[in-house]
Amino acid sequence: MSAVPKNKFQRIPKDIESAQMILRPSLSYWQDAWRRIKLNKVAMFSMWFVFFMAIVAIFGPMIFTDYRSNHLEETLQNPSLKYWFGTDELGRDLFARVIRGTRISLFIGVTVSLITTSFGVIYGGISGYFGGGVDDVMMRFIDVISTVPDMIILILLLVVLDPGVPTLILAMSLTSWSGIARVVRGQILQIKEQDFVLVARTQGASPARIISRHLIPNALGPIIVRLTMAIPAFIFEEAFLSFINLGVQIPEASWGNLGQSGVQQFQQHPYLLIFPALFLCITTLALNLFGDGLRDALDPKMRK
Amino acid sequence: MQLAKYVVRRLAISLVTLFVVVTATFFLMNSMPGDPFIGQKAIPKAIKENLYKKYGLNKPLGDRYVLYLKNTVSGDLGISMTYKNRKVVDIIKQSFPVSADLGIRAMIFASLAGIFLGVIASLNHNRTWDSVAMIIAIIGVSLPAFIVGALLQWAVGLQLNQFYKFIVGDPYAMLIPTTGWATFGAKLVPPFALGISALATIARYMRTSMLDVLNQDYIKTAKAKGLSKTQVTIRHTIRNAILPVVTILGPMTAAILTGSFVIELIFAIPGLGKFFINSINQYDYTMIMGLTIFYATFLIFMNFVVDILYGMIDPRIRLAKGKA
Repeated sequence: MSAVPKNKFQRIPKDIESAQMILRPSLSYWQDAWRRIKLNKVAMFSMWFVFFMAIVAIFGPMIFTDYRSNHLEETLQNPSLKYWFGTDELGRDLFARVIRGTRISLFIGVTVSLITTSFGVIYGGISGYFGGGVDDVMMRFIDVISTVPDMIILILLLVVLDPGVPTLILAMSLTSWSGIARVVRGQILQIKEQDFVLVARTQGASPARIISRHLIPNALGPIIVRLTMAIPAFIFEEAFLSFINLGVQIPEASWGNLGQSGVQQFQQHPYLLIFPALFLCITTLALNLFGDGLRDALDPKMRK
Repeated sequence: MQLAKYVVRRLAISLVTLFVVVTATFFLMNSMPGDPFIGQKAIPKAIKENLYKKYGLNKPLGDRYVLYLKNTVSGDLGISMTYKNRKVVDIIKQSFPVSADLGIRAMIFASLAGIFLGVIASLNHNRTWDSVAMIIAIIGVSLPAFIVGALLQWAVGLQLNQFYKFIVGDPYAMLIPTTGWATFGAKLVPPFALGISALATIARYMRTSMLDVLNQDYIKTAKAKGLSKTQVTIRHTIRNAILPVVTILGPMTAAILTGSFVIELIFAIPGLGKFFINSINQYDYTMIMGLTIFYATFLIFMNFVVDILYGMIDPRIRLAKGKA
């Protein structure tokens, strides 16, 4: 084998510049999640649908204001040009009631989700961050709370309290914050061992600052997914409570109490159930599909 | 012993919870304005006092609370106010078996169908059957029990039976009755309506759990050993994947229970749920209190059993929980 002549070799200088060049644009966690959820057509469609329903809930009742006046000469009308969804047993316009119900049901779902999530985040954040004795006491309390059957206590509370949307929201929030608190605590326990928290601590950041600026933003993904999935669950809970006459009280409208009176007259006047049920089911379906998509998009393991 | 310690600890929590619920029930109900004899005809003072004496309402709150605790512990939940002279305990004894029957049927249906759906979905991950199964599951989660119940009542109870009557030519013939709980046929539709949402939840859990297990190395080993696909699936994958699904049995029992209130009302089934809803609507306070305590005890007990069961099946959970 002949030796390769030296002049065949060429010296290539180290090009640090090009070795470190970033070929792909750098994306933050949220940008990346957004990029991935955009690829999921079902989730995107659901998201737009939820936006649309939110707009209906906000502006609909301003346009179709007459949801509670009786028209006793026009009871139980079939859907027509005048009454798009027909009228109920007191001649109330079902379309206006369904639109009003959209506002009330979504309001309850969103508010209860926000309240329970905020409280759960604070509770779980404190418990997870401080750990040790504080964590022990706070978690034992949750152990007891979470073995209490939520629904039974909720029913009891609503039997005792005066009915109304604020009471409903309060009672529902009181009975269902423990799950999210547990999730947040688990997340915080994982994150607080990481180095950037140590850095913050050595720089003298207060616990409140570490929890609110470092721990919670990093745990936000699972929290938001749970928040999204909680909304349909609470809409359902309201519907169930309305079904046993403990939810939103007539003449106020909600998908639940519209459905409840619809069920009773379903055999003779099916439209009384079908319209509110459609609104209820399609919206919860969209929220569930969006929540699913969001979970996949925020899960680093699913990254392609 | 690790397990014994865990059982004792879990039992203590359950008992504390139960005590809290029983106490909360008493004070919440007592905080309500008015008294049970208001709203009826004006009663002479003497009679009212006698009524108070009969029901022990003339005693101070503390004494009543102690008496109430004693009675509750000895299994006496008082007398219903609307069903005159019927003991709450008797009503429970009579109608809970019906509810339990309905619930167990719904659970069995939901578990079998849910596990089946989850397995099918995971084995065809990201293919057509996966999508089909998950669409069924997500629709199941988005349909409240009262809508499913009403639709089935209409489709089966009205339309199908109408058609059957027409075919047979007998105006009283029923193919599948959808009211009551007397015949075999009547027990077909309600458990289905009740089980749908649980089915959907189980299917989704099972799918996730299966996908987890399918990625484990021991499945590769099993395949590499040359085991058949059926053997790998049944003996290695499903057996391991089913474990986490056991954890949702507790919440699922609660969901089935509350769902049964609705289903019993729609299908006119004489179960305990129907009594509970009626007592709420008729402000039958002793019934509400009694049934609240009964349901709470039942659910706390079920949660306890599920937790212990899980602790026995999966040693990892026991250790993790024991440590905390």
